[in-house]
Amino acid sequence: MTCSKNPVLLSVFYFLFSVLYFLFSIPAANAQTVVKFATLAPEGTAWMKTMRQFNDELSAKTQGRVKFKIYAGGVSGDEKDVARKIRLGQLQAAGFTGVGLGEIAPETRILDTPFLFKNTDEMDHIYKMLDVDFRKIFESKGYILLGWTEVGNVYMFTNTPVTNPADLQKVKMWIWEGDPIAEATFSAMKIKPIPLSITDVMTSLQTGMINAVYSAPATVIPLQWYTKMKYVLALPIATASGAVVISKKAYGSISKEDRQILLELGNRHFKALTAASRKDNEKSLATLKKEKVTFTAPAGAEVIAVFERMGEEARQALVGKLYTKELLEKIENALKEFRVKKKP
Amino acid sequence: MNQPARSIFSIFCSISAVLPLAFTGCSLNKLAAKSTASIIDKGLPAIYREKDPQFAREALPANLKLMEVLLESDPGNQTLLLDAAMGFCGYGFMFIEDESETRASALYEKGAAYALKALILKGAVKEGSVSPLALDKNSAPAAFWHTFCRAAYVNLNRDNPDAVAELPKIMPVAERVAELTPAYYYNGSYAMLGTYNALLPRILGGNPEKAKINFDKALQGAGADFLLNAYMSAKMYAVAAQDQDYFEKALNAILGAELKDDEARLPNEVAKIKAKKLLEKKDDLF
Repeated sequence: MTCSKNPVLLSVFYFLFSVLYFLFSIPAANAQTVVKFATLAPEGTAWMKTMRQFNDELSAKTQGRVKFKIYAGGVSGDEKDVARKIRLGQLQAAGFTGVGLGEIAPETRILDTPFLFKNTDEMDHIYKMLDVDFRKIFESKGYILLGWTEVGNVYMFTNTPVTNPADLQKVKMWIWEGDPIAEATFSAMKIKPIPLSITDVMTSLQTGMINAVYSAPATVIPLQWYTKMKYVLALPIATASGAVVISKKAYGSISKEDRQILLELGNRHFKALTAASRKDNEKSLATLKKEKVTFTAPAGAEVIAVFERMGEEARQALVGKLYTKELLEKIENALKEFRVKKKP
Repeated sequence: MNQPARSIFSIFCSISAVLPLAFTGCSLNKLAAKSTASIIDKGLPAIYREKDPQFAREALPANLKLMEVLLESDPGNQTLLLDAAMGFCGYGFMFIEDESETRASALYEKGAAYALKALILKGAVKEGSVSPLALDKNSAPAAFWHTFCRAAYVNLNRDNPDAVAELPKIMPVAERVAELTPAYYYNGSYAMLGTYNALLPRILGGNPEKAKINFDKALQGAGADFLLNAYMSAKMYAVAAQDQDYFEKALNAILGAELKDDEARLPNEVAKIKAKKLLEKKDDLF
């Protein structure tokens, strides 16, 4: 006698099936996904305050099904360590600056290249226009973008006034060892920088091995490098990017409904963080002025044009190393078009 | 003496009697403030010995306000300035910081301002900042509380660049205080230096190893039984170094400590409350 012909056996089968389904499906739906997340940002900073808000809201909206466990202040190591730990599955998400992004999706570093953007409107335009392209890039490397978190405009800090590229020949510039963007930038500026790890910069400023650095204002203050610097060129050389990403594997383990919540919250909170970061950098510029760091202006429009040509040269030099010619042209053409439209 | 003459005489006498009082009114107030301040200063151990943190928490604001009232009459009273600095910072750290960072920040600013006044009177302030080289053993306690208040303020306002820019100025003062009076307030300077070294990520100049060295010094001799030192070492060093074993041992030792009826009783009782809360956060921190 077959099962289908025996109503008792059939009902037992259905009962067992239901129990098994219940046992295997219900716990999965209620299971908590804990996403281990690392960032260099210390507790108490605007960055971490936003991250905590994001996490609280995520936990509330998913009714505790998804939660980030946050390792702040670099306790999981530097960004290269964090990228490695994500590959090994020890961590599942991170807030990266350019260095970390270079490890996981080098193409995105095109956003850090010198003299690419002239203002925040241009940045917002390009980030929005290329959102799909960048998301695809991250996905192809095994990551999902949860949001961009801009670090800010990068300035050159020196001990002698700099108003044109020739002045830079007199300085002993630091370069973050292994940073291809900075290498191409200083090569175009005809500077021979001194490669050092970031932890050796302060000591090297004290000994005089270097007397010039580059950084975002909101970063140079906690690093205390500004205490050894007298001047800053009031022309940003680049805008440092950052992003919060989650591994595709961890993302895939979350239900479709919760993924939607994660993406929506990431988009909202990290946009707000970029806005906060811009304000922080503005406030930091004011702090630097109060701390008696002198801002020097570039010596005229022609000098700015010279710097911008150096930027173009650096961007070209990185084609094939970090990104494709097509991606660079797409961004440069979009910017030209945007500038024409914006002209009064 | 005729009637009008007598009247003029009596008015003259009255004025003569009142004038000295009017001129000495200020001095009398000052005298009264000085003697009350002395009573407060001598009576502070009664607060430190308090076993009931809730009782101390409720009693302290009235005492702090009284100190401010007395300072209105005697603004140069250095004993009172130091007690006020210690009182506002201690009250903020022990009872308010975990509940309201904004209120605690305001208390720290108040405490720092009183400490700075004391340091100005002692000639230890140059161009608006405390000068480590101008400090001596006499001015070191005020410098300690000024640094404590400012560092605590910076810690709660790490998103304010003006506050963060204070760190390079205040930490050399803590180092100088550690040289001048290493044992002051249960080796407090070393606990402060330990906290500072654990505040930033290694990549931004933080140094957990240095933090450990300083906390080890804080936990010797005078600071061995002061549980807030151990609490700070767990909160700052152990988390920065991701040393879970140290974290658990330090906090469990605080929770298991038998407290003496000495002048560290109140901060030690508070340390137990804070340690319990911190231990509950273990899974979020490691």
